[in-house]
Amino acid sequence: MEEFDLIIIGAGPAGLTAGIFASRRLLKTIIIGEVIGGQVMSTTLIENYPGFKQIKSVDLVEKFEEHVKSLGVDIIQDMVVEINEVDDGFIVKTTSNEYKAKALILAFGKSPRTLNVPGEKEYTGKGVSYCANCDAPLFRGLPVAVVGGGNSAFDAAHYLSQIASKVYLIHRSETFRAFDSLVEDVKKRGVEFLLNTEVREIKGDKFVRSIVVENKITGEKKELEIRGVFIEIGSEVKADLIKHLVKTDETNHVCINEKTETFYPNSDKIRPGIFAAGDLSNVPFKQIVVAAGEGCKAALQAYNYIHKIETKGIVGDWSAGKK
Amino acid sequence: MEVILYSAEWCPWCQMTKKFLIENKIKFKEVNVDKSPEAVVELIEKTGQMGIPVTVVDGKPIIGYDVQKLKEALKLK
Repeated sequence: MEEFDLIIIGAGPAGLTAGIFASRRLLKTIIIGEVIGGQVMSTTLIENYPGFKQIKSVDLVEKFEEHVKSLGVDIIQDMVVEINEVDDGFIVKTTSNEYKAKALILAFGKSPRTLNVPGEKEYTGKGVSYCANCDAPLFRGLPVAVVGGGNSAFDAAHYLSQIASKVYLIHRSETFRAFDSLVEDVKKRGVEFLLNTEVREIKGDKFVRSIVVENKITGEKKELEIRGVFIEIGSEVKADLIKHLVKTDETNHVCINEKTETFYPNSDKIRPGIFAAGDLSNVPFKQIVVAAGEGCKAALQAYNYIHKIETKGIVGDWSAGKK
Repeated sequence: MEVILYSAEWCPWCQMTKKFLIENKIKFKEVNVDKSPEAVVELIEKTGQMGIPVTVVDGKPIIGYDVQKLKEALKLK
């Protein structure tokens, strides 16, 4: 089994940035992640990452990846299935291998939330989609529904209103998390809003043909004839992999302190050797630049942990920028 | 081995799948579903899917950018 100083689990902005800083600290490091770029890949254009007024998500991820690889850090595209603590570190099992390290950085972000209604799983890829950017044009001239009330749902409704014959926006409450300007724009495009409404079932034959929705206030149920359902109801941390190792909050986010250190489950005692960064942590503001910054902090803290250096108050760390 | 990738330029996962195939030196035919309605019909008929990317390896469709399934189908380590 190959041994490392540091294993970073997750290959999004937090994990890749951690890889850069760990490498510059000469830690023997690997990154293991299912998708290079993580959730960045769920969007098309990035317009708020410093240095780039506008850049395609694929291009930004490619720049991150090139930077990491240029420093000699391997990125293993694999799924982590188990993490266990041993006397002198941690063993990380993937679907095809096992790795050992003195320290871990958890940075595997969040996954799209599902509706958990009958028909959803069965019709995924057959009318049910979690990526409007990818699949919308396949529904040209067809009626569709978007489920959700945040920016991604409204972005999807906006995009689909230019392609589909009819767009329903189904949202379980009366208020939206989306920006007001986006809501107004979508309203002008003839999208039909079904508020206080939840999806109960997705029906079809080989492909989706209809959805059953229920108004939560009146209890009225109706069946809408549609061919596509775009589920845009946010994302969640899949914490099953790590719940035995670290403390998580009521929404499954990993609890960390200002140094990205984690805690033992159900405890306020710091868990040595495991750090967390990016969207899976309880740090607010889920942005690429925040995830990258947290990834940097986690790598520098992991270095201090491995070399038994105490991290003191506010100190400059300019040496991290020099080889 | 015959490999067909159904994709579109605006789809990030399609671009990742394409990059994966190129990096692993896999010869493939790319069908851009955005450029022709016929390609959409072909995708649905051949793969039973209404989503992209779909990579068809010797007639077997792999849905989405699924590295594990791609590696298995393409017999990569």
